[in-house]
Amino acid sequence: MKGWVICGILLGNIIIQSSLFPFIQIYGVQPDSLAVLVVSFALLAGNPTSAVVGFFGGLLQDILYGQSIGICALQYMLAGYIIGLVYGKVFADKMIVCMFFVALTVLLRDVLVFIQMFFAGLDVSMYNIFFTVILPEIVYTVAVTPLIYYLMRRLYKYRFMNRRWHFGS
Amino acid sequence: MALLRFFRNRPWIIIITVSVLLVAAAVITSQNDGNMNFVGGIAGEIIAPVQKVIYSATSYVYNSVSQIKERRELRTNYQNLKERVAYLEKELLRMNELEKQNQRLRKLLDFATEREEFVVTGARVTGKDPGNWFEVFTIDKGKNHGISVNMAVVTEQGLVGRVIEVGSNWSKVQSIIDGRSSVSGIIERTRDNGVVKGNNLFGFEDGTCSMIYLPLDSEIVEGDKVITSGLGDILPKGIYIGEVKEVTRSKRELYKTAIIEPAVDFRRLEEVLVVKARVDD
Repeated sequence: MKGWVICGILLGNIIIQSSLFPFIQIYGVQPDSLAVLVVSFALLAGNPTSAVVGFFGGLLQDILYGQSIGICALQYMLAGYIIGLVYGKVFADKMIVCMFFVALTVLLRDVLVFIQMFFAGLDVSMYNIFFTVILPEIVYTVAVTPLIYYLMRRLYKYRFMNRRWHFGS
Repeated sequence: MALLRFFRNRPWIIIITVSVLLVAAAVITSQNDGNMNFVGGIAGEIIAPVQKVIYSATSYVYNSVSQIKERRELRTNYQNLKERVAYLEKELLRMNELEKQNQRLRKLLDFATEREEFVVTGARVTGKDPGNWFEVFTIDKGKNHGISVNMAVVTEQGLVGRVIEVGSNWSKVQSIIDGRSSVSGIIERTRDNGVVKGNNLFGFEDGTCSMIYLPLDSEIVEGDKVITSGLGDILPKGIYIGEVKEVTRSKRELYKTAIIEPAVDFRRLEEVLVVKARVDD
């Protein structure tokens, strides 16, 4: 049950991200709702759920739009795993906690993409992209965080979502 | 059981293993041949139709909202337009001189109707790359409609990009403003060859292209038209790309660079045409 719900959320997310979000772009930037989902799962369920969500969510993006499969999956899985480590150690009820981790995730992910592009030999300037892409993306994503996190918290009120998964079983 | 318990207590081993596998997968798949893999094909078949519906619904809403906005602006526009009529009457004289040039350009613009044999199919845009970094989008036609990799994608305004992957009923298109795209182009007036690269890459989300490797003695000026050169057999010759916005030359470089404003409005892309390089293909 839990698995199907998560599948549905991820599919719905990619559809909305790729067809609805282009129309709500501000200055060419759109929010990274998958990052918000991964952080929400990390704070509400911890590992391994958040790592798994990050993995499959990223994989879906890779398969549909990426040119090499694995990059997004890796980034989101690591984000899910690392933030999942603080599960139970922070106040998951506080919206500001979630916003902080979302900002951190988007920042780290963008820096990773930057590094990856840098080694691919593309001519990029960190200063430029920080102010034109990374910062607006962080602000925009943090702005949509409350809505998504609120819905996720509602979802986690249901009993079936609180069954734990375990690594290796 | 002992093995299971071993992994349960050390989840980071799984994370590291999966990470290594993903990096390997990324390296392997980055050299793909343009054919969509099996999993990608399946996922695309399921998602593409849903995307199509949502994309057209949202674009409908978006268009109606912008129509209301336009209506408000009509009144101010009226005054402006009146002044403009006077100005344009003066311009008309000059325009007659330019008519010759215009006719040549119109030929380029009417590409689709004039060279019907090149056109493979029309297609609708169904979704856009969810990231902010690149400009890749999907269309709703694929192998079944005769599309193959490297075919050019155009609108009546000009060149959009080229097909980079095909599935049975959908394809991925890389637009010319994507930072990874490069197309060989030619300045229509001076016949100078160059390479048109996309500028949409980290921080230059301005939807322009750069034309590089232009010879130093080239006499290109602002407003010159750029068309595809047809070199390399990927794109047909003579598709309109855009207009020169600015010409620069940095001291150390042995060539000039021009910033190109593409003719296509990449923010409002709904229908496109897929064309092939040669008739006998």
